[in-house]
Amino acid sequence: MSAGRDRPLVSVCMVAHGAHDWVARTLDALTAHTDPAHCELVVIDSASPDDTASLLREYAPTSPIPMRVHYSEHNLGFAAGNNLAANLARGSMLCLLNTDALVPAGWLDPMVAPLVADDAIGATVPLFVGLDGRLQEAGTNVEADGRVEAFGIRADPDDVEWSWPRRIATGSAACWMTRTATFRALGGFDAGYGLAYYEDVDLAFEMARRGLRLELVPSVRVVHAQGASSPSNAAAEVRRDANQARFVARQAAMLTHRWHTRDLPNEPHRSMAARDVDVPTRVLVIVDEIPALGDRRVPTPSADTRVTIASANDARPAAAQSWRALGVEVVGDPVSTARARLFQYDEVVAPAVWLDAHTELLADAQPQASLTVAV
Amino acid sequence: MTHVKTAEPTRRSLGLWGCFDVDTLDDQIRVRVGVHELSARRPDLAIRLFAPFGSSRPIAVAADLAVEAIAPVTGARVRALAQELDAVVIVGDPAQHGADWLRTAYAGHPEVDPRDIDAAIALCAAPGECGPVGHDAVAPHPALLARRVWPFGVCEQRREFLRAMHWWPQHGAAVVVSGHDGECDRIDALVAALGDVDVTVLGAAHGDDVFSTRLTERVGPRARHMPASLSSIDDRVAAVAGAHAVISSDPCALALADAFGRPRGAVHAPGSVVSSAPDEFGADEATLDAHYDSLAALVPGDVVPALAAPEVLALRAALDARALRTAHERVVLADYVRAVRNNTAAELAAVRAELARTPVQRLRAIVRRGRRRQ
Repeated sequence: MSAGRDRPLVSVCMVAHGAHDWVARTLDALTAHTDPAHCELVVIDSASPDDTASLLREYAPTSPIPMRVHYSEHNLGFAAGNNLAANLARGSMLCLLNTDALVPAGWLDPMVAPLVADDAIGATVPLFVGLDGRLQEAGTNVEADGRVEAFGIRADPDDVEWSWPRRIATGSAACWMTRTATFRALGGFDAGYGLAYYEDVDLAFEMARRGLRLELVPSVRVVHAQGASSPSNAAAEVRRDANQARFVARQAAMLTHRWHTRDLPNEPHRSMAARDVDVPTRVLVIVDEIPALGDRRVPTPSADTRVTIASANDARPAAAQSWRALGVEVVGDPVSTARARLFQYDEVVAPAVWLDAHTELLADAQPQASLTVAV
Repeated sequence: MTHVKTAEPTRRSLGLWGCFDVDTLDDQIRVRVGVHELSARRPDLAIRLFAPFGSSRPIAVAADLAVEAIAPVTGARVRALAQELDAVVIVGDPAQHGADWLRTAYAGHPEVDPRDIDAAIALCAAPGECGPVGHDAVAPHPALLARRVWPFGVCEQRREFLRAMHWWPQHGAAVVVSGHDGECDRIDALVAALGDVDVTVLGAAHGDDVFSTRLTERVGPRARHMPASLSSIDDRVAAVAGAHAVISSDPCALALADAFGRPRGAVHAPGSVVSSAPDEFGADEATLDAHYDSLAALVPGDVVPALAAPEVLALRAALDARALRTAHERVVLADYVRAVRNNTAAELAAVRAELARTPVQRLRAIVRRGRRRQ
């Protein structure tokens, strides 16, 4: 994104309810890693039971980022707190940031750029990493009964599977970037969810209902001390269960064609289908070696088209990385990919020789796919 | 993911000019309705918003709008605007606020040069050479179309937020009242007329402090004050949309009440509350539709019939549902195929194992099964 006056003003919104030490760490990470020229900070102190309000009173006047704080007399909860912060925001972009989420250097522009470039993207979500360095979430799947399941949980964040941007069903609002206009037009978070949980999933579904997608931005890794800003696990579970019921009641129509993965054997075709469920068209491109960018055999990925390049030859890692940066998945052995991802693809693009040699495999594992000879 | 926008080298522009950079219900409602109606009719046009200082002086209530600044008003700037815009629609009446009120509203911001204020206001009211100029409707008020911008469902959800903020009763609804400081002499009559009902007092940004504070105090615990400094336009619309009744002398608030079919009334000196029945919505909406058709035609080109928002949403939902259904059916099919294959393999293995046994082994197995049955 070009620097200068064209850069949108980003309003970072935070809702604090205690957890003084984490609020301080989050503010420090934010101010250290954010250009204050095109950013403002709006903090709602939601009746913090500790001395967080004092911290904010001290912090605001000297914050490098212009900062405003509203002190609420009662605990508004996550949804209403963020809605209030969004009301106070003056920027055309909103970043909703938890008070236990530490942003890294260079985080802002990659989160904003997709929203500036593509009107069909409703929000961007980073990769979340736990305090132990393991992956916490690379987008989230929503199951038929409304349960949410993070992709990549406890995985190695350096695994290439998590390295490419993609459309996701939803993601934790511990760090969301969205347009102020989008957030407001949807009515913000549904405050009927009370203190916390499921308001973000619900908003993601409302975006989807209006043709807006969520985009995973894996180049940004936010350290999230999940639960540090919440009460006990037991209280959280009670709240989560209650809100799951509300979510299912509100979004029943949108859940009709989703399915369970958690209770069934974790087979590749199921997990891949769950990952790609919101992408209507999937294309598998089989090549001898990873081509250079611009190769016409590889279609352009979009919110509606997921492209996977499969090549047994991994001699060109730089080319693979370039494709991944564009949102294309790059995997190894084409045969095992086609076999494991049963019925996954709408189209298989491959050399004529390969198609001839694997007629039986394709008829067996991808009978629904149209076959295209790569030229 | 590639993020490439289609090049728009020769896209024509329609400018909406008004005081969208100040917080008044009238300006903020008009611009949103105007953008909604005109962009639906002319998807080929770039709809650009202009206000005296625009987003160079960002205010929270307009953060969802991309408003360009008219100021500084120089010859070069005026010529550039005339060249960039194919037509202009003046939204609301910039002169109605009065120059003094606007000077007060704009003053004090580092991006505002006091010398620019009068020229910017004047140009906003009379765009001069910027192509054909139209005006949005005076009567009926465009707020009558608010339901198209703020659907009932969104308003209902938003009232959950109002409840969380204690701006709305936890159960049921409230009578919504708005007024300005010049109407303080009507508070006594208003309090008497309101009786025992719950009341939400809508704040306005400039010049309502005394009215709203006094009214809230006089009504007592049943009154809730929704301050303009904390609330959005969406909050104010949501309150009106769910009100038992709306009492105001503001034509915009009354038109909003009509849009959502809420009873409304005005306070008249020396203090009587006068109710009036909503106008015939259909007739007024048709008048407004015809007016926006004519504004959309200021720039030559086809005016397309606007699809109602619910229709668009239904179409999108149907497309998404189709994709999900396809994906779901494939998983079910894959599960079925795997189950068949697994069963077939298991049966085949059992038959082979059976065949591999000698006749004596088979006989012994039959005898064992017979003993178990006994």
